[in-house]
Amino acid sequence: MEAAALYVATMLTLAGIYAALAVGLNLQWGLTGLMNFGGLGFVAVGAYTSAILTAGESAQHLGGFGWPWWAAWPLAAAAGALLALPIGAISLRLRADYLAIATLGVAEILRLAVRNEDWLTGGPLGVPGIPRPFEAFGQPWGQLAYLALVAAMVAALFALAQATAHSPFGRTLRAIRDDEEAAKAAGKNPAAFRLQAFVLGAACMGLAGAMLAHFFKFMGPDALDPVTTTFLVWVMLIAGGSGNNFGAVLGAVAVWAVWAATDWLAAQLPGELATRAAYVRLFLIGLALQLILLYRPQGLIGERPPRPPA
Amino acid sequence: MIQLALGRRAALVLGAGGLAWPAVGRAQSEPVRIGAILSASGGLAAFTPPIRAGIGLALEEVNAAGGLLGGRRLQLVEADDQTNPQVAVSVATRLVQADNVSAIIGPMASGITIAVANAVTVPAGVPIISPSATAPAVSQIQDNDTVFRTAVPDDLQGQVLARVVRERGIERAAVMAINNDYGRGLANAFSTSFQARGGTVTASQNFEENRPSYRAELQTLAGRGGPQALVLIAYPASGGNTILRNAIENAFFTRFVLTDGMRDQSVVEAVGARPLAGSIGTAPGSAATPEQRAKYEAAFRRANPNLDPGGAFVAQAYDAAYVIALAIQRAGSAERAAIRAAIREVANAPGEVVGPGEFARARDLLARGAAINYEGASGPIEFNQHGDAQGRIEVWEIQDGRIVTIANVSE
Repeated sequence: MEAAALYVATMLTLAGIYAALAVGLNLQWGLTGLMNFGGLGFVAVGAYTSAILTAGESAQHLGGFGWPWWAAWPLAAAAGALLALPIGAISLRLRADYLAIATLGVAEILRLAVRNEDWLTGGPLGVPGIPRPFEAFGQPWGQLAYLALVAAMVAALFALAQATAHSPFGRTLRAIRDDEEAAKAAGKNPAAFRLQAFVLGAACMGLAGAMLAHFFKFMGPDALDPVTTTFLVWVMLIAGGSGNNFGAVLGAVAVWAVWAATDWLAAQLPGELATRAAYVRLFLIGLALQLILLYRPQGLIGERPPRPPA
Repeated sequence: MIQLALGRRAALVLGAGGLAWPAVGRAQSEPVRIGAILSASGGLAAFTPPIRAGIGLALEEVNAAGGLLGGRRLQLVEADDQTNPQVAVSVATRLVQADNVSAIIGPMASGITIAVANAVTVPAGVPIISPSATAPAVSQIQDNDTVFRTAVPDDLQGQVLARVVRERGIERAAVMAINNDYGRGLANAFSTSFQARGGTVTASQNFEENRPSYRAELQTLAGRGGPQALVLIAYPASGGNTILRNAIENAFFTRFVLTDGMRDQSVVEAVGARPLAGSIGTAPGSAATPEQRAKYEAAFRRANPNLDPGGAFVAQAYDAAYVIALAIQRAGSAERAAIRAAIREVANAPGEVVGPGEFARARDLLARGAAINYEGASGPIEFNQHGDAQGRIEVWEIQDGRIVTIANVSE
């Protein structure tokens, strides 16, 4: 029974990390209409920043700073934001599609960089031995405490995102997304607002990367898979309802639950079929995305129009 | 309407979650559960079917011989890591925490083994035996003695490869290695040893997986220093076959030296038997006495007529499953810590030698209180203090479109 509770805790922790990613993407895409296909890059920067700052001394990679996690995580978020700044400054002035291409490219460059800069990231061997917060509590309390920490982080990000969405700043972002010319006519500078939203979203992703690295206690280039770190998040946001922070979190939890449940279901099949099921799972995620886009483009809970002032 | 739809969908999600619960209750029932983390999809997928068959064969033999711990059966719970450490960590968590397995066979790749060990199995105290993690770094995991491997580390393979290449009269070789822990580790071991034997590595390249073409890299390698052969350290599906095709089509290289990663009949089928004739390679080998090996091969062929019992890491996977079964019987329980402690007792000398297919005899010996020493299909299976098997390296050659074992050497 305890083992089952721990399994649920693991799944919820991962769902929480995905929720943080989805909230970040919602800020960029849902609220502002920025097509960021480079989630992987921001996750990588956050994850490696925190990993290098906290992991023990090693000849394999830069390290041995021995920072505690609570000091490293804000820097991970800052690193994500710092990466977003130049990308955004250059490509946000162009049309939305160019941002998609630029972010995709940057993510790929970063993936190759961490694989080849051995002195910094350990190359293909990655950074092992990243401490997980609260591990000293032992099983099962350490794991539950980490879940609580992730949940607290997600709650904080969610509260900030909600506050942003309902603030004048958030309304401006929506205005720019829906009708840029009208927003300009009202005296807003779309490029500056877009850049701010892009940087804030990237900071969320950097923090999510740090939470991921500390949960796995290992970060390597093979762990940076575009399918699971970039596109699954898009599926989550679109399924949950882009533009709505509740939708982002719900989408993350629901899609992750389906992902985990299908893994378990596939394992019940006999050998050969289990192999095929692995591919069918990927196919189903794509199919689900198509169906949602065709029949329910607003997602599980779509964006609600803002309440008219009373 | 939106609310209603949400209600129905949420119910569906909850329903799917509810399905997972009965399995948890079942975990307490009769069969002993053994986990297997295999790369059923992704870069290593080509290796997985015969490896799975090897594990399945060992388990079937144990069950057919009457099971263990007084008639309990072994049950395999399989998970697919998609050749991705992140996925591997989450499926390993499922095996350890939800499926409550006693021990795990796998994962297959070295980097994935390190990730899974650090994040899941070492803290939980679950013994794991990888049949195919060959990177030297696996020895250095702080593992409380829970991580074992039946595969021989790459340092030894690199040395043997260098010697074989020199013996074939090749003095200048170009090296092309997959850019991961496996490729880089083995390329290093080979280059160091090759140069120590008077050979020259004319150029060396780490390539990225899944590119449509490798002509540019091959052209650079072929054009520098007049190499006589290409040493290719790769996996077939994620670039190896493409590199061979590119090299042959453009006549960049005519002689190829391959390693365990490319020791697969599918390579010959995909690239063609004639251009590959005479290509040589190495792989973690079978050091077993010929009778032990023959018993295993016969049993494997009977159960799986279409798969190759000599495929890369297949015998190692079979042995990993056998060692776990024997350790459970020796420990007298399916407790993780007890199994871990018993693994060396059943695998290492001294003791009465038991081989593949002799589970019933081993069980009788243990019942009489005798010590046993498992000599497997892949080698003598003696685990050192790091949990690495001390084994031999196979030298193979492609002759008439078939992979033929030429020798098994220990140094």
